Amino acid sequence: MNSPLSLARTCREFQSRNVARRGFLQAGAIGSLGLSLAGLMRNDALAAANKAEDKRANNVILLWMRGGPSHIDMWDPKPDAPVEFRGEFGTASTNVPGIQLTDMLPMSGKIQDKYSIVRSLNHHDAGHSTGDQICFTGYNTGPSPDENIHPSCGSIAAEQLGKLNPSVPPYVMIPRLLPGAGEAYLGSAGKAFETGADPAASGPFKVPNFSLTEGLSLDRVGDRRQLLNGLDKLRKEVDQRGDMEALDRFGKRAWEVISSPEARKAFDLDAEPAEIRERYGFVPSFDPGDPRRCGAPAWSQRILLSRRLIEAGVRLVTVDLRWWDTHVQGFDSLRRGFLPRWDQAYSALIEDLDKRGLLATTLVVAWGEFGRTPRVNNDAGRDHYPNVFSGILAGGKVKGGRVVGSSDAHGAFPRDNPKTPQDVLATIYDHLGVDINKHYLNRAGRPIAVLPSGKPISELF
Amino acid sequence: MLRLRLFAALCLVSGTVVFADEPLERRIDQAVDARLTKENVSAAPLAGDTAVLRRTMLDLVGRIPTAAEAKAYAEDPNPDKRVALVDKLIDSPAFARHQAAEFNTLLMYGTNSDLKDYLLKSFQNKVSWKQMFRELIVGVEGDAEQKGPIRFVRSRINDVDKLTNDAAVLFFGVNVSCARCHDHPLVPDWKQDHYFGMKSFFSRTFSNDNFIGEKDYGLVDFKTVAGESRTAKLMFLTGKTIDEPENKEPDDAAKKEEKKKLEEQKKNKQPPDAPTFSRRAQLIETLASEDAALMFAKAAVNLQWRRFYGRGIVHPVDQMHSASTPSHPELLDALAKDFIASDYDLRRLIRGLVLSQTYARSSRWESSPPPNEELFAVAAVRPLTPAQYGTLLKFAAANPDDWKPDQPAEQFAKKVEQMESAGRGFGDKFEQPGDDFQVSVDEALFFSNSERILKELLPVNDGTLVGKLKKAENADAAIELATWNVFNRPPEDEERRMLAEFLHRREGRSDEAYQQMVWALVTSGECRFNH
Repeated sequence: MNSPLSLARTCREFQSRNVARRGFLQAGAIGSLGLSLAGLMRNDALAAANKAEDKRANNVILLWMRGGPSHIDMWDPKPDAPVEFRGEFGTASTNVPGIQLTDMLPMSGKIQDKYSIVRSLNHHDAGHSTGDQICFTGYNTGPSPDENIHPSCGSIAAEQLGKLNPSVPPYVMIPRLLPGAGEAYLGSAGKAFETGADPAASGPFKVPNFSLTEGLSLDRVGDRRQLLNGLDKLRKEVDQRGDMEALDRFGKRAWEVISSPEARKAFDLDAEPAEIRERYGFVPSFDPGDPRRCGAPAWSQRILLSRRLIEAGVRLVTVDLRWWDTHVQGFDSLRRGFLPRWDQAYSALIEDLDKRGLLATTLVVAWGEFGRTPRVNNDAGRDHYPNVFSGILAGGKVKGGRVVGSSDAHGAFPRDNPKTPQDVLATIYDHLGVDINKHYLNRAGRPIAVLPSGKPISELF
Repeated sequence: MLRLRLFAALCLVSGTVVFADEPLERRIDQAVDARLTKENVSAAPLAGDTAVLRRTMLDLVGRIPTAAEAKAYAEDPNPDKRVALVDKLIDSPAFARHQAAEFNTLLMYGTNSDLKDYLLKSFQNKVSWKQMFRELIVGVEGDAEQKGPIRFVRSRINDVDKLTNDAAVLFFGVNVSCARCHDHPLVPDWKQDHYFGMKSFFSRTFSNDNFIGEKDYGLVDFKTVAGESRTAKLMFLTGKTIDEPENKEPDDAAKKEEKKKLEEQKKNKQPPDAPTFSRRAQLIETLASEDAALMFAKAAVNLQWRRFYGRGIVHPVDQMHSASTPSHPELLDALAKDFIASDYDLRRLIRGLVLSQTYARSSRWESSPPPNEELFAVAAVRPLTPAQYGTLLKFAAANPDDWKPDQPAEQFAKKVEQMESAGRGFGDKFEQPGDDFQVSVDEALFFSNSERILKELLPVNDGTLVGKLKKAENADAAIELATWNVFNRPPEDEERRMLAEFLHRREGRSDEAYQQMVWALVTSGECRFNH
């Protein structure tokens, strides 16, 4: 049957139809519910505002440290706390006086002036997927946390900004969708393009259907494309509602993607010079060899791919850097598995962007769904902890070398200037020029704002 | 009360005389034509034989005709061939398969479960819509593992609000979700009492590991916008409340006992005990009242109407309330009453819907602007479902010689079934179309440049259209063949010219030219839609 989605759209219906039919009375009724009609309509004010401050070249790399990186063991060390809080790592100074990290991040310390730390992030949900939903969408989870009931920030960016550069997909996931990263009620316009192929895997990197299939040449695909256009034109008059045109539009888009040298180049990771690839690192996957402990795929090259993608015009790239869920023998996992590869790849990315002059237009956000418990558990690890955690940001308006907010002496609660995931999302949207006052109708037909709360973290600017 | 007002209004406008013994399709045409005359709009002409054949086959059996079927139908001089076609299709096993797939999408969309086996059996056995409703809500005897129709409830049990609204939308055509937080601002029919009344039918249902059960006690409390606390009555959408045994909360000891028993049943993989009084079963009982039955029937008619005509008589289909204006109220009423009188026979309803002249109109509108969609003056262009599209691609790219009509019927039917299942595999790649038809970048890339298309649809061998084209006498014969195979009709002059030119410029490398030509044909807009 066609369009099962339309089975639930009460409010949508009365906005589009009853408003027209009964005029102002209904507009008033909606107004009295505190919804502004103007906010529900597509408005061009956003485009105008964006022109004033040109954000069309801006993009975002979201380094998603899935599983929950430990704030105390990375960006918010507590050298003065008792050892059961402080953990096993020492503390080191950075190139910014007054900012200290643990001694496991020497390369990050050398570029501290390029990025800043928010140490007072917090929310209320200690589940992985439920936390993912909060951090990607700004809203609480639905009944099945693995499925988005609200769109991710990438989906919103794709919906609002996707048309600006037709030659690459606006929102890309490396390598695959994650809980929280879905498009929910935005439909195909907000859907992430999954690279499918994983740069972490061994062997040459090839995205399905992106580079030309063997036996095809661009000329031949172009030939066929012309024929197809001719055939479709003949049928246009059949199409009253423009559905075929939609098909045509996307067909053209696919054509632009495969025919555009930028796009193909972007995904051609093997074209990257060896020394740059080495700088990000080829650290092999980490397998702690114990089913109670989480490992890490060889994700260093995923981070490099994200740089190539934003260079080609992708608006938001999410990179899956799993699995920071260090409950058991956590210090060992961090020491041997996670922190060295992280330190190397992250510092490589920031340096690389900086060298290419891309840091001005690229906001890099690195965080996970929560931090980890301040008190070390009986297994020499730490558990899920959303009450306070850290995230780091670089690029765009973000000035490096700052610390926003702080946690208390044990890293247990925000001490001052608490910040929320919604604030991080607002910072992302601000950077991209996404209109956060816009509403979208959810599957029940109810208008939902891009963000329920949150303000750009201006202390970073 | 409000319901009554709605029916009074309907009676006033149903001025046309409808003869109950007229076939459904005639009644449809009479009502649609009457409104066209009133609005002074002349409808699009009837579509040609091949177009009607393609449309009907996609709708009834989920596939396009083979070239041979299309030609045979076009050449058949029988003036009643459409009726014969529809009856033949409805009697074929593919009909039950396709309806099961369509209803599965309708009923289970947004859940991870599927009901295909159950629905297939139901359509094969001509089970009525009312019985399906009962089985979906209450389950069937002998399904101790709860793998049958009760999955409709079971797969939604973690979200009783979704279950409530889905049931209201799918079976009664009303979306009451707005009334969850406040009385519906625009539809006087829907108060919070209605929403929570409806929820009460499901509120005692709970999950116990892999099973669901229903308790004998428990009430739904809610808060009004004014902050007043209320306890919901067991009340149907029409406002009718249902008498039930007094709610008796068990004491703590009894609850503890109950919990223990549930734990045991969980361990033994047994379903919880049945309640002595089932609120869910009461939802089925509501159909005993005439106005609830009419509501149920109208919702079913409207959903099927939308399926074949592109939009509902009430549109959107979940807005069947007193404030919405059906495009053809008296027709909806008549079709619903006929549906009830036929004991909710979906075959009869579907047969009538696809036999009307309205259904058989051309989808082309020559002059502009196009007429108001709710007049049904021109056939709708509807995106195919993933399964239909996948199957279409498989058939379109197959060697027509494999589908010669002179083979044994059983062999033919078996091959059709194989193609369908291969097509479904292909269709997994595509998304179920929503209200605004969109194509993802993924799908577009897949069609522009996928190895799978090249390897599965376009290899040059005896099984494919491309292989057959290579052996064609000349370019013109190849074009004729390809157009019949893919579009199920002869080429138009302009197409013939365009394709001939394409082939001419690639003389000397015919394999590849034919591949590219078929590729363009199967990925063109015409193939993505039922039109």
